[in-house]
Amino acid sequence: MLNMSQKNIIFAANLRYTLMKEARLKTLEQTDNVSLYSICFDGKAVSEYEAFVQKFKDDATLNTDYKKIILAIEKIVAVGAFERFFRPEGKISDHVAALSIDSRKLRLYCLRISDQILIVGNGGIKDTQTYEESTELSGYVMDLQAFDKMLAEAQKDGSVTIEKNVITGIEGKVFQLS
Amino acid sequence: MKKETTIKIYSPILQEAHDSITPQERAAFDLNFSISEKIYHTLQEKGMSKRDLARLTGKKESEVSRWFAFGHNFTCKTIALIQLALDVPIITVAQ
Repeated sequence: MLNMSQKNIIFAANLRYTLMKEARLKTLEQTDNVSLYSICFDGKAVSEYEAFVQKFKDDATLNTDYKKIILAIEKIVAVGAFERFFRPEGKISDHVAALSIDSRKLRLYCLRISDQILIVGNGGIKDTQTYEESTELSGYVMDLQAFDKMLAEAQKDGSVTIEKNVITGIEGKVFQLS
Repeated sequence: MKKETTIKIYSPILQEAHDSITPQERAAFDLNFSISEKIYHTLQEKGMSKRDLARLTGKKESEVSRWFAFGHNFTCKTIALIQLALDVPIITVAQ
């Protein structure tokens, strides 16, 4: 049974999700083996991961944790987005995962599509025991869950295909949030 | 471990983030990552789990999990403990 505070958090996260209408996928980094993507919501040029970077790059108190995340993403693009590099979040049926970093302060959420494809989302300061207790963090997880569904639908209707380390059909494609 | 390849970065924001890391920070991160990967692959080869490693080292499972998280800073004391527990050299020093 959810208490009032938990209900408010879910309401706020749902509201954030309802207000967003569309999303695009942006290629950020690539090697011969791995591609790194992120999501741009509502016509924004800056993706969710880039927004995360801009949010924390000048934060002196979180600098160590921020740099661990930058280096971890760099390493993943170099060697592979292996399951052991993430902690499952969200539901069993989705691809949502948190980057496994040795930090008690920062969290970054991702969609681990395969060992070769990673879609990085946004993240923030972890000041609650679980992400569900944080309006901000649960919003980021819900964003990724929503996009994961849209990506699955686009694969089903054939407008997007995923092969090895490439997602094709994303050039100019706008994913409509239902 | 797979061979690392050249990374193409298309985002100026991420390029700036990568450029902000000093060579020392990157080298330390890589060293800790290599240690963590060596431990992971040793466990795989021996058919052991993190729980087994926790039992053998006398550490809590939550602490052992941190050894496998990105950016964990290993101490010589911890490496020695793991080497003894697994009976495998985790790092060797050039003579």
